[in-house]
Amino acid sequence: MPIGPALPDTPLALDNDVFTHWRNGQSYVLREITEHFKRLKFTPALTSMTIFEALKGIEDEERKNKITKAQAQQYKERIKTLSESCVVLPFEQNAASIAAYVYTRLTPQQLQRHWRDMFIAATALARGYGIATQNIRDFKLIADHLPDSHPLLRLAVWKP
Amino acid sequence: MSATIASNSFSSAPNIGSEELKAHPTRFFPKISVKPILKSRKDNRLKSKSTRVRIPLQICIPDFKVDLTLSINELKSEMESGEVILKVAIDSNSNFVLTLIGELSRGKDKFQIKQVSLNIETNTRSVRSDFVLASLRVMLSLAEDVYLRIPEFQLDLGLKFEEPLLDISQMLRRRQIAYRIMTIERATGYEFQLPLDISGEEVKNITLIYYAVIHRSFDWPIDSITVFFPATTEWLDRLVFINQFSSFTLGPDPITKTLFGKEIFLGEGTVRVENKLIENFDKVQQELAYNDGHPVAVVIRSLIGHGMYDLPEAPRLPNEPWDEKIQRLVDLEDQLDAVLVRRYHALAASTLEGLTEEEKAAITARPELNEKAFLD
Repeated sequence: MPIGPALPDTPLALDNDVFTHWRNGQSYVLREITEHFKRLKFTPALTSMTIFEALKGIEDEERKNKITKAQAQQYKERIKTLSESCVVLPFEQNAASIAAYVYTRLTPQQLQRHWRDMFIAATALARGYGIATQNIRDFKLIADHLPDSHPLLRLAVWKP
Repeated sequence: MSATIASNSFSSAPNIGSEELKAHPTRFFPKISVKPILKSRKDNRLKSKSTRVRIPLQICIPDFKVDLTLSINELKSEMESGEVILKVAIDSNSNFVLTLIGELSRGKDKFQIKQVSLNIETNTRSVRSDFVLASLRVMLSLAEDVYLRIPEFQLDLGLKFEEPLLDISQMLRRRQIAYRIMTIERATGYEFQLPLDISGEEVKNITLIYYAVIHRSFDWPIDSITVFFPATTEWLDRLVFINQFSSFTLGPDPITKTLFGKEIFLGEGTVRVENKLIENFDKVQQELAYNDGHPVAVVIRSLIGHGMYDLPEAPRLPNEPWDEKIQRLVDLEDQLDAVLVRRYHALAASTLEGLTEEEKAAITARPELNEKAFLD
């Protein structure tokens, strides 16, 4: 059972869906982030993969001419301001080692579905963070393939 | 009791942001500098005047209902070169250093202030001072309006300090750590001299002792504990008995933690390991069956990294632990948290502001790769 509960003092990183819901102002995320902040005095961290996903969305929309270049610049600036205001967990050596280990143990089908979450999980694990997610199942699959050096992935399940 | 906890046997998962704290070590007594935006230019003309010490300065922070009258104990006036520096005593060891930047009027009788910067200087190592300074600093950073008044100079400045949210968050964290140490001091009677840096490990100990004082029973991350059983048939039977249950409780035993070089006795208590697994169970059984009394290490692992401390005899806070000044600052915590977290929520919302629901869905769609991308 390589997943464990996030305890009250476990610092968390946001998975992408929860991050998107935060940006959309969904009340369950606002409530949970407020509680995290009250306990630890900082918001949950963002991983570099999460920021990549947010910026990639803007680039896509600009490339498809759905938003103007000026709009894209404005939204990129806002993502930058937000990420500079939060703890950002980098995808560094430890995270790369964990990700490489997990990657080679997942099937192509599993990777296709979970590669983004795998990078988020590896980044959080490398820094001793748990993950705030809506979907325990996606991360359980990743946790089933963790290396001995980081055997336990702590999850906080946030639901509306 | 012949079972003991090995001194290094608690290998808990990182908690309370210890990794984050390592990245940003909690430094005590740094100079802190923020540059405020002048909100009001009314009456901000400092009259050129001879300097003297012990001039009152009023600081008003309406958002937090704070009105302080402090004393300027040093005034360095270099109006010709555009700078006036005021040192304002917060307590016997700490000063605000206000730097007023501006220019002299043509008649050279008034100093037009254009910018104000504020530092906090301290040489104290007292936890109480650190809590007060961190609280003041957070209030100044979060307030919509801060008023500085020096009636002697007919100076009345309305200011708004602009500071990165992460810096304010770190100052709140520092305030929380100072509060927890202050609580431990009050409960144990110890007085700590704060080091320049507090490591992630020390922060973990502060939290554990603070929880013992405040909560007594609390969850704690525990990967495993190691106990030593004597190799006897009695302890072999006990091992088999223990193995039937999903949790394992160690103790009651005396529990002591060390903080800043001082040992803190938390009384007799127990540690429970949830969802436990006895590592190498068969091998441990064989060792105990030797029945020669030699110590056998038994590693009890929590499969979910979850333990629980129960410390009913831990030191307690007195009924009214704080004087009025500290209590007022302690009571501000919820308000300070709420103001800052609201700013974070607004910042997150701004990343999608002005987009339709459809555009939001498109811009937040996750990147996709097809299955071929993952084939060898």
